[in-house]
Amino acid sequence: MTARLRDVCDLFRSRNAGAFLLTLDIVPVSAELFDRLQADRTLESDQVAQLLGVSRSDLRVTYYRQGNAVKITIPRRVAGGSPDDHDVDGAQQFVPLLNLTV
Amino acid sequence: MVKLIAPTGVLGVGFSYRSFRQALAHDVDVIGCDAGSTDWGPYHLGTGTSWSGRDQTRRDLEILLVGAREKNIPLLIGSAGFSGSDDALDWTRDIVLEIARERGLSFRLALIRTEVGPGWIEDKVAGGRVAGLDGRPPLTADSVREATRIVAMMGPEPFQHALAHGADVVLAGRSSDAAIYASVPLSRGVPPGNAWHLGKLIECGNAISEPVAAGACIVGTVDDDGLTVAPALDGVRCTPQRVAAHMLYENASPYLLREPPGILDTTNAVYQQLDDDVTVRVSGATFRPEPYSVRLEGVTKLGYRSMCLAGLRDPAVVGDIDHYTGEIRRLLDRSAPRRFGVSPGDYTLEFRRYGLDAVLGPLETAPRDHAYEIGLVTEVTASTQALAHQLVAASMPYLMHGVHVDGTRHSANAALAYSPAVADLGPVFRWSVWHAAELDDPLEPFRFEYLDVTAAGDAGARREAAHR
Repeated sequence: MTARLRDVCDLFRSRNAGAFLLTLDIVPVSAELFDRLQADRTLESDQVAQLLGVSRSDLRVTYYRQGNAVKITIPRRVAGGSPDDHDVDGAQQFVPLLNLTV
Repeated sequence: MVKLIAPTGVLGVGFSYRSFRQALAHDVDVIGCDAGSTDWGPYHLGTGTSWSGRDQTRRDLEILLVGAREKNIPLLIGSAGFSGSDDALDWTRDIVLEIARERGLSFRLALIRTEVGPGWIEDKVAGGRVAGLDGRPPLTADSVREATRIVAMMGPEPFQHALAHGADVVLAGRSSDAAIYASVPLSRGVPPGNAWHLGKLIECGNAISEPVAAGACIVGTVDDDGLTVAPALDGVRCTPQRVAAHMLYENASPYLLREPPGILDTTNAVYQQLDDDVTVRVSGATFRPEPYSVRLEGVTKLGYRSMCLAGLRDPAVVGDIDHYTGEIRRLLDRSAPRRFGVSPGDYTLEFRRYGLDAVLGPLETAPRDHAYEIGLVTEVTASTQALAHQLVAASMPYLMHGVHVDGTRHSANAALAYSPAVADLGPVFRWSVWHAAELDDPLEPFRFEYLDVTAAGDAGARREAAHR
């Protein structure tokens, strides 16, 4: 069975992790789904890298069992709050993955 | 065992007064509060100004200061004035002195300055003790000298040093958030894994409680075997999920957190709900010492910015946005040398197209023909505020009616959002220093000052200039 990521998360957010990194926290609705995401490694795919505008080798994915969460950390396109940055604390940068099929 | 209050995640954001008074009744050893962040960009360090207003900062500080003096326990404030710059520290100090005067409080106030000068950094660079963080290239002498301000993010030792010198209230410049809370437990011999884990978990105050909107203060207790966190307000609870989730927040990794003396490792941490259903017990974190290192944060000024917000609603303009803004750019660039004596290379003209692609930029995948209205920001960054303002003003006739868009039948293409139409945004900065510097001594670059504040309203100053 497949679903859109947005429909199967209790928490899905993005924020700065310092001025040069962006981090996405994805908490799926169940431990089973967390296990599936970890097993099939959907969130480490080329498609995810492409949607986030980074190369596959720039994706840092951590499976955080205590928090039932998957964390994706990537370099920022531009440093937070630079003149050409349009999302100063990175708060809307989860949006490209909302419709990802999982 | 050490008991601490974390009233809120950022000084000035507010918290429940009732909760704070309940927390104080817990026989607490120390009150801590973080006042800063880099997450809202380089402007605050560049200007030495706070995100929060003076009144809201004073409101929070007054409650904390009065409570701390009433119980005669230390109050530790980190990253004072948001950026932790010297100016921001002085701003916070003046608020503290004002409160002390009006409330008749006596205490010894320590100020810890964390701005670092180019000479000290260049010596560090020359000695091979500075490394780029998060992909930053090596630091150069030029980028150090060009920087408007650089602060070093201190660890817990400067707090401990100030307390050992009799401070009741410590205002620190840029500081690790977790170090504010870890400092006293560490000096009392609590295992570093527990002390640092507590510090990280409570540094955002009520973020680990629910409902967050209650604004509960958090009481954290740490001992040899672990730590507990609980909100000091009826109807609010901490849950293992929320507490564990906080390790994700604004961190690159939920397991490994670099702090000045080493790395907090929570890989084997266990989060459990206690029987009262509001308290969470945490144990199992470890701390691995590393070469002592502080993050250097510095910004460089690029100029001054002005902007104009206009709404585009005519379908012909919305549908031809690239041509429309391209023409505005062409016309402004053509007229600027004659009118202002500058060439297009002397300023930066940018358009933000809210409703189309302003937020995600090249990552936007929504079909463009879905846009029916665009909030168009025209912005110019130039060497002076006056020039930036005039360049935006000069673009307005083009914005309004100087560009012909096929299909329009009207005299104006845009709806100005405000009067005045041009807003000055002040100086613009970028992060130019984001590096780690190894220290020989945790106090090395930091400067201490002590003020004996008396109820009579005078503050006797004693300065301990550079530590070494």
